[in-house]
Amino acid sequence: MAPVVDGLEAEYSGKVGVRDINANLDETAAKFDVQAVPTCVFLDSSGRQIEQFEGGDPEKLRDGFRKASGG
Amino acid sequence: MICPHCKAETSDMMNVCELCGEPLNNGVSQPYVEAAPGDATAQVNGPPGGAAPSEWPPPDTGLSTSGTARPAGKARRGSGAGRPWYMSPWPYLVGITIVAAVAASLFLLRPKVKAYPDLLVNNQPTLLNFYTDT
Repeated sequence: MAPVVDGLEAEYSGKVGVRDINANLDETAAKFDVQAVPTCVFLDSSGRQIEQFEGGDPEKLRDGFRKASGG
Repeated sequence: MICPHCKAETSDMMNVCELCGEPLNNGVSQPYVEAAPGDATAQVNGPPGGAAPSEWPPPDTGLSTSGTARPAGKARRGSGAGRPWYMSPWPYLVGITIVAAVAASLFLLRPKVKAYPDLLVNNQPTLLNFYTDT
């Protein structure tokens, strides 16, 4: 999954940021009710959640980046 | 046709007198005979070329022939007490109040979306990538 995320992060550089969070160490996982890893949560520029899914499906990731960037 | 009650001329097509409302005999002309002064033998004749005098007047049709036969309507009420509901502002005020209350409750009970601006990277849309190192 990491290569896919890295590629999309580079593609959407300046539009969508990426924050890697260790689900075992960070209480943020509880806020988003993370039950499995990997889990992806997209936030808009106001910090509101716009999408959440489990797994590293490249198509879902690309779609999430597109939505987050407003494109 | 001549009304037997008020002697007014009225249309032959009418069932009641146009002037006094008295029922007419359903298209059968009512004869109007002016008795000559002192003529005690003046009598009612049947319609010209119609039934014999013995058949006249026609059988009782059940219609009243005395007085006016207007249906008795509801007695008029005093002003105010009998006004229909839609003339009062209260039903509308109650309705508006209910609608406003429902709208306000929907607004207050709408699902609140949490925001996590502290998790953003450079205040731009952000992917939170939860992973584990085990």
